[in-house]
Amino acid sequence: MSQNEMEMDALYAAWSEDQASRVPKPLKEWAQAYPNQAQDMVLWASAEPILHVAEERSAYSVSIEQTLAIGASVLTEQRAKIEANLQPLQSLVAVAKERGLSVKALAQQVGIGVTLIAKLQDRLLVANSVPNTLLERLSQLLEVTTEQIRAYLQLPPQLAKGAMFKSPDVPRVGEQQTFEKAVEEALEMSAEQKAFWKQ
Amino acid sequence: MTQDTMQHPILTPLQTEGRFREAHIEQQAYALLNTGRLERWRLVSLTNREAKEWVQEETLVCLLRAYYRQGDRESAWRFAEILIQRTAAFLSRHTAVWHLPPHYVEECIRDTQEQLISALFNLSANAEFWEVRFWLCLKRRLLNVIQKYKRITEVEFHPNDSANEEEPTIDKLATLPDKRVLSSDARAEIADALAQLKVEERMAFYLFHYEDWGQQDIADQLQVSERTVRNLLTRAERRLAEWRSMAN
Repeated sequence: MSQNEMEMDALYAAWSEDQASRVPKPLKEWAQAYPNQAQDMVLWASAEPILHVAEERSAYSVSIEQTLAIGASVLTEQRAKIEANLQPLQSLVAVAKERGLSVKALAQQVGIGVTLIAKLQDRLLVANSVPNTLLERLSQLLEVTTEQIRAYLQLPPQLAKGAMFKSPDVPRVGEQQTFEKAVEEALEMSAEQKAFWKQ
Repeated sequence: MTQDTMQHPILTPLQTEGRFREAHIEQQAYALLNTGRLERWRLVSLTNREAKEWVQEETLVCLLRAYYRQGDRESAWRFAEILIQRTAAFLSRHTAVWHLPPHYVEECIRDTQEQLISALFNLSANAEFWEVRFWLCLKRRLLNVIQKYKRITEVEFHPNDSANEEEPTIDKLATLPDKRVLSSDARAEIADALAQLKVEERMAFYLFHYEDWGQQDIADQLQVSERTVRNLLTRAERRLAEWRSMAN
């Protein structure tokens, strides 16, 4: 679903509600205001008299029972399809990039610092200490379920990707810490942000 | 996690700046979240729209998405099932008036339901308008799907029927009925006939007779020549005349 779909939904709602008002604006005014959507508006407007009649109709070519039966099969098919797409997450940052969000943008929109995003990415935070509000915000932005994020955070910590390991010692993953502690340590977070997450 | 051990989902604000759920939808959603599970399912399963406790469709969408986001898939799919039930009469009614072959009516219903489910389980901001205006989102999807099948039938049943070909135009177009002077019966009659027109014919006819657009404006809008507009209007009138003679 493209961003355009939601804009079209909002426009269709605005146009429909105007048409139902006492003094609807002529189609020409709408078309002039939204030239790129004018063709769709003509389609909507020309269908309206037909749909109006549909409201009063009681005989259907496909009965309500048939529609329900079609709906039942659609539910089964769609459920299989949608749940098949609920794959375990491989990387929070990669998903963000797929959604057009850089680490910085993700951090800003969620309301935390970039170091916390890095710690979430490397699972350096105790999963149970991560607040639900943060999971919800991440879920909205990444368009995945909180269940998927939670499952990701519960995996063992990992080494930071791209880190250079020139030390003669075997590189080790960092210690996990609580979300609260990580917020306290995050130098780039504002006092306001820190206060919010302490609530 | 089982349903019983799960926490209540959180209702997060809509992501799109300046876009909000209606206050009564949020109130209803919060009230339902604070209701016991059995009572919640009783309320959302009510079938009498007049009931005082009737749960709005936007509330159902809001809860479906909140439960799905939280990972309570069973609850989310149960809400989806209720929405499929609630939209059945609407879909049957609104697909019945387009004079499509029955198998295409079924396809229209299926396509629309697929789009509905796909949008409900889409967690991006692009799908959140369903929480604001459920029926208008559904109606727009249905209209798009119907137009798709109308165009398919046009190609199947009138493959060589091009509006660009030269045809004699009639000069009686201005005498066609105007909706402002039509009785509700006549309007219903005309609407039934309009549904039989091809998509472009209907658009041209509508703009000419219902919106009072000039032929040049219609041509500009539909991105065709004025001659094509005249042909579309002529054909529309011819089809309506055929329809009238059959109706009589």
